Amino acid sequence: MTDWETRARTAEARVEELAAERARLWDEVHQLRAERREDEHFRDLARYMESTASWRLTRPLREVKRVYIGLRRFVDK
Amino acid sequence: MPADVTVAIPVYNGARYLDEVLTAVRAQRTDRTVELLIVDSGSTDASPAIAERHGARVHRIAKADFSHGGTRNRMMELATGAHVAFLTQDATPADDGWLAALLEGFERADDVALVFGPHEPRPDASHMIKAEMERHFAVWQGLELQRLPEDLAAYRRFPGLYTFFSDVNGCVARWAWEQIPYRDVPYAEDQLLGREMIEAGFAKVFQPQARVLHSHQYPPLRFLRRYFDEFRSLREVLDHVEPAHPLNTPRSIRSLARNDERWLRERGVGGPELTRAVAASYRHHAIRQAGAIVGTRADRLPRPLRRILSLEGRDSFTPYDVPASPLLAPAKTQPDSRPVEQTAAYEWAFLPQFYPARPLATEPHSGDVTPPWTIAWLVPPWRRGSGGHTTIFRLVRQMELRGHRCVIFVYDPEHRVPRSGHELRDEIRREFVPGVEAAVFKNLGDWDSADVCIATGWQTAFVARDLPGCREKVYLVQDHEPEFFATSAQSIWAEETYKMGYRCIAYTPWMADVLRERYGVHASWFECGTDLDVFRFAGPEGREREIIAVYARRETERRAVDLAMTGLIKLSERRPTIRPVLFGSHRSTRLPFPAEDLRVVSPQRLAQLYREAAVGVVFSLTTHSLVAHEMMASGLPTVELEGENVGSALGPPGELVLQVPRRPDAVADGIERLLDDREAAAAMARRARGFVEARTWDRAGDQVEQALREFLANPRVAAHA
Repeated sequence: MTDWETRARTAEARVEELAAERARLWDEVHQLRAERREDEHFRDLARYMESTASWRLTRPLREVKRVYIGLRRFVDK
Repeated sequence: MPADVTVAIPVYNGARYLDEVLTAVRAQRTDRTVELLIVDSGSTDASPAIAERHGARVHRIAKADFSHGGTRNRMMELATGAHVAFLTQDATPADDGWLAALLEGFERADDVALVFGPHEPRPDASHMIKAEMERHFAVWQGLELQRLPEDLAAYRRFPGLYTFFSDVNGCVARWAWEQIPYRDVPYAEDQLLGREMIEAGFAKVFQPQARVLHSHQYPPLRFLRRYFDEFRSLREVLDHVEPAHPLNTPRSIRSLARNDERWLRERGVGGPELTRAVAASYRHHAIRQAGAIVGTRADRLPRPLRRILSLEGRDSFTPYDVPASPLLAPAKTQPDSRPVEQTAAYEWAFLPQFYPARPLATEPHSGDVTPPWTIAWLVPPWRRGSGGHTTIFRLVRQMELRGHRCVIFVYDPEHRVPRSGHELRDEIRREFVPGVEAAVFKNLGDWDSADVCIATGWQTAFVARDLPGCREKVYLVQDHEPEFFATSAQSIWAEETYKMGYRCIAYTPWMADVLRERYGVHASWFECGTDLDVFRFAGPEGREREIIAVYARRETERRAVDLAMTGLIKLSERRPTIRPVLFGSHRSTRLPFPAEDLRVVSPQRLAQLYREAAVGVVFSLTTHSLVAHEMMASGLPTVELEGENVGSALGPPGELVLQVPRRPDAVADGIERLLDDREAAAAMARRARGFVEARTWDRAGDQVEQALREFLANPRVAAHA
């Protein structure tokens, strides 16, 4: 194979490599953005849930449960 | 000699901070000439002397002549600067870049009339004031008001959010003031100026770097009296009445106190200190609400009580005749008319932004087609069972399987879809095509760039036209959408999208012909595949003789469901034992013959029906239907309507499907023929299965990829080396 042929093939391989890397990075950026949106969505959801009357009304029950679990763990030890 | 900018401060017994304020003004770093103007309304302390020491031009007026609006107009007349930066006697520029930051705001656009900056609390301010100011000034970062329907609707909902302007720390352009001066009001002059300038179409800029130190710290009772004064004036000038409600008012106090609590927690405050601070918050916000409610109802109070409640000691209540806002309260012109409900959710409100028409935006490129490509798909919102979306997502998956990277943007300008991007992605994988890897975004806030941007419906074609950063713009045309809306505005808009300069990929050669013949658009084409794993072939054995599977998607008029139903009425008169099983619609149906309705069900459930039924009925008046392919794949003898859209895809009548004339009696005859002539029907079904087997999704993917390769290899504008 002549030198220019080798060089052309090497250059083509490099172009392919770079195109793949560029597309991979583009995809990664979008996947990260999508994850960030998902994170925001769940934060909003949690904020909304914690602001509901039912969540606040049942707060003592959760406190009791937390204390109960703590006591059980302490007794089990 | 006129200065470039005037710093103007109205003063009355302001010696406490005035020296600090003027020192900070004199220390400003700017290459402009600065004039310092003080208007003193009868101070009895050292204020005038302090001002003169700092080289200010001091203009004296009588105390009785002072009013916030009138005095500022006088200051604008006295000032020589093209811009006048207003401060109050207790607002100290936080650093030496304050003035430069204000002036920089005017460079954003030619029509900027007002620039204002945030107030920062002084160190002695309470946590309530600190938290409140932080929240208050965080609102304007990134807030924009354009002359768009949705922005105007938002403005009407909460005008104060957009009109807010504070001349405690704000700068006015002289050219704008000459057209719209301050109103001669005793208070809220800056809010009125902000409103009038915004409504006149001038721009207002918030500059977060133009900070001043400014806050008030009073004992609780003085706060009550100060808020009484502030809110009385808001009623007098802007006719604002603070809502008072037995539940909502306490809720609002609680919400403000909770915001303070969050603010304190973020700063590490906890334990008893937090409890005490939150209790102070509740007290402060309750006092503020009380001051606001009573202040805006001051007209109902006796004069002596007003004097006691007022920090200024003023017992009057004088409403000012301020012209009504033309945008907020448009007057009725016809006495016998009814008001039209204003809404930002008008279905076509997204369209005007795309006019005047612009050329399709693409980037110049070299024609390099080295894979993989980045492909952005713009899709309209969907409903379960949408065949068009199934095809789009199949093609997305096909591109992914070929190594290309895909992203899906769901264009939903009316915000009708309550689900998030990741929920939509799950839905695509669950309801349409398993395995799709593309990230899904709602609307285009996360738009970046792509090698190819593919519009998939006429609404998306409008928005895709202008998107930046694309080497190629492609229009996937599955159907002739102008026909969806008959004679209508929507039909005009849909037609317009074919003339935007997109390179098109049509579903079926028929659709490509339509694009070429009617619009002169060269289009590549593809043919749909069918999921042969789900729609498995079943012969005539085991089929229920009287079951007729009928695609009855009433939501889509081009499906001619009523033609199928009137045909079935005819048939049921002759053969009362037929059992039509409808599917594909969310709507309920009432019919004059016995029938069942599966509604929208999974492909697996449909495949089961197709294997049991004796005849399938599926009509389409525009493009050829994917449902027909699935029936054909299942070995179900199928009845379609005659038409070029079907004939060009499926050959002569009776070859692959029975194509009947568009009449109820012909529909009935066709179905009956297939029910009676089982042998001919089975032979047709076998041929149809062979046809479908040759048209796989893999083949459809190859066709679309080949079309994209050709488009990319032939740039519209070649990049120069």
